Amino acid sequence: MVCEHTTRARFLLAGLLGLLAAGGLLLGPRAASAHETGQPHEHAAHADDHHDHDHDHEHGATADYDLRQRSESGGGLEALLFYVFAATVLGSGLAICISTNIVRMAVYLFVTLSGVAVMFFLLLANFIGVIQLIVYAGGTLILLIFGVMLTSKSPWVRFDVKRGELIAAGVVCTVLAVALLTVVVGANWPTNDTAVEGASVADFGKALMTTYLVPFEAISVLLLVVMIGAALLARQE
Amino acid sequence: MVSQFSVPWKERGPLEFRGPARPLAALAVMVYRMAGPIVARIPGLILISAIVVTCLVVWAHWGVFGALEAFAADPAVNGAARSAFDLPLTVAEIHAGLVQRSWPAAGLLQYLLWPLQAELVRDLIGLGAVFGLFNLVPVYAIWWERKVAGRIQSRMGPMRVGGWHGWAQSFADGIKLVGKEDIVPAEADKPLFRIAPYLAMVPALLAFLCMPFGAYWVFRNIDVALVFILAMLGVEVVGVIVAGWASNNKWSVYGAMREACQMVSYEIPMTTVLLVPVMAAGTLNMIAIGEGQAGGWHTWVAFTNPFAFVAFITYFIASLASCKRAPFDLPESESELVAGFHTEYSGFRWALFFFAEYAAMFVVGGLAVTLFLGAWHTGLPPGVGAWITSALGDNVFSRGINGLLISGPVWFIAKCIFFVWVQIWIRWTLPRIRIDQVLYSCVQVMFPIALVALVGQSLWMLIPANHVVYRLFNWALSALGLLTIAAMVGIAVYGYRHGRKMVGYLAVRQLPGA
Repeated sequence: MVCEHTTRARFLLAGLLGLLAAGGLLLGPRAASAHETGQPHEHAAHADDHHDHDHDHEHGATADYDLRQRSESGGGLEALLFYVFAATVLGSGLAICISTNIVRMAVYLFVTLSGVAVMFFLLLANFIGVIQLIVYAGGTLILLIFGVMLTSKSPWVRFDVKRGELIAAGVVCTVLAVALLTVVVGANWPTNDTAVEGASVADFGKALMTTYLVPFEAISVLLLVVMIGAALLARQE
Repeated sequence: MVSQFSVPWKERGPLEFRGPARPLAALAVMVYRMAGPIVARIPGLILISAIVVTCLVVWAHWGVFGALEAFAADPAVNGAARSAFDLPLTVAEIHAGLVQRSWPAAGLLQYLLWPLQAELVRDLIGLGAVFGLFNLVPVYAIWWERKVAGRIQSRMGPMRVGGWHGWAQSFADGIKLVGKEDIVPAEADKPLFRIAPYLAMVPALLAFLCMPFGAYWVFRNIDVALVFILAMLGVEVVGVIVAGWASNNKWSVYGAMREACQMVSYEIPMTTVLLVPVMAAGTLNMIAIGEGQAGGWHTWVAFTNPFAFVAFITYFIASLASCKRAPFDLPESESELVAGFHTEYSGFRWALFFFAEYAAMFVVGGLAVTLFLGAWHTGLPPGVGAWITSALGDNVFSRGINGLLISGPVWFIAKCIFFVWVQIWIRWTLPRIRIDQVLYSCVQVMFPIALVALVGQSLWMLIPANHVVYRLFNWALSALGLLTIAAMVGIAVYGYRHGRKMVGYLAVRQLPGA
């Protein structure tokens, strides 16, 4: 049974997300146009011309990136794709809030996460996009669905909200929405034409192994502790 | 609303399509009625004319590319000379080039030539090839699986459809499946049930986009291709789980839970051992990894050191689990769970699961080939290609021989098909293991082996390539690999020539009615 204030909570959440969506869509063209002129072409990663390919072995993956400027015809298509996938991400995000069935929420979450990965691909951040897919869409989400399937008592798990939870959620969402909108509106978005230096996977790996070695190791140890702790908790039952 | 399927089938009229499907259905029926008799009578002629038309299209594009290249490299037309493969020309530039060479109908031709530039045409051809291969691989792998299963069980497998050894069996099955009723169980979660097959199939298709079929035969040569393909193999599981859950059937949910459990655990050793060739090559780019193995079969990563060899075997076993093949086919174990996660599926949606499964088999075979077994190279010494070029001259024939036969998609696909065949062969010879054995073998056997291989490889990289230990292991493993291939070929030839003396055949002759 879905109570009345549960529905109201969903519409509150949906409204706040809609506000965020409006902000994002208003600002989307600015980010997209800055990106259009600046970043190298995605097609630069092709192996279609021979002289480029010969250089690949010398410079590694970075050689793929500094070959060409963005073509004149690519901008419109990219803006279109940006809007399509932004709408997908926001629509599925709204659907997570409105849906009452946990498994369906997980599927909408899958769509949202994949859509965000596509946004990363559109920004030529291939590595982050792929990691987004493999960690969130392929790993975390499966564990989430798995957890729902193992713990649910009835076949159709419903998700109902109590009045206190409604108030807490409303407060958190309002604060979050205001904070995000402030950042989105106030941020100084980069509009220069230069490509990002050191964005290849090799540079990323080198940075992790040199400059950021200590934080990297700390995170690894933390994850190990979490794993051992989870195993210990499971065993004590 | 009364569905037309609620009346018994005998009282049902012919299936009526409504809305936008109606003209499409009428068109399909018309095309079928017109083309069916022709296709049935002259298949050979159709094949030949298709080849001729393809050659003509390629020839026409060659001409167009040549013209565009000439315009782009002409400083009189274009301010700075550049390559047509680098940047698309504008319509105005093409117009200037046409006018300068006094081509007829420049006003019309400029718009006709503009969309035919290298990148767009390349992408369209590439998409067509990827999608075509994605469709052909499952069709023939399913037919082949049935043939291999038949031979292993001393029967013939499909023999009728199409003539020679039932080569068209899968096409007939496909047509049957498309024509079947699309049943959605009444108690199922309908939208999820409908969408799940696509969630399983689309990632398998996307994995093909980054598969390197040759040094220049790749749709998108991205720098993180390996991780992308692994991500796609991981995402494919979501479709299976959603299918099992949405079916609202206990067998399906069991299958889905086994899949989730198995996938989450086997991804760990699989990804760990894939780091071994990545460390050896120093990149995640599949093309660069493949090019690193160009110097003959002793440079193939699997044969360079014992840890890489162990990693290859471990990867192959883990990949069986990742595309749910026997002995890890618990998600659909047909002898205990009816059909596991796809129990409730029928028709086209059921076929999509099979497309996903067989395409994933090809993809994991492709990963094994690219990362461990010399990618698209034959394994001949690198001098062979140079020798062919010097013998025939640098012309289209020597390039064709080098690019297709010496190091090209033919070898890549042949090696992948070999791995598909090994997976089929394992399925029909090994029994399925229990879920606790699956998890035991992952966590307590394969994961430690994977870690040892990873640490061993990182230490092995300290040994220089001309050191005696390195060479000793390299040549011993290369000889072992060659011996294995020779033994397999020898056994296959022996089996082919002595098939009628083998146990299965003799047993068949003793059966009643023989």
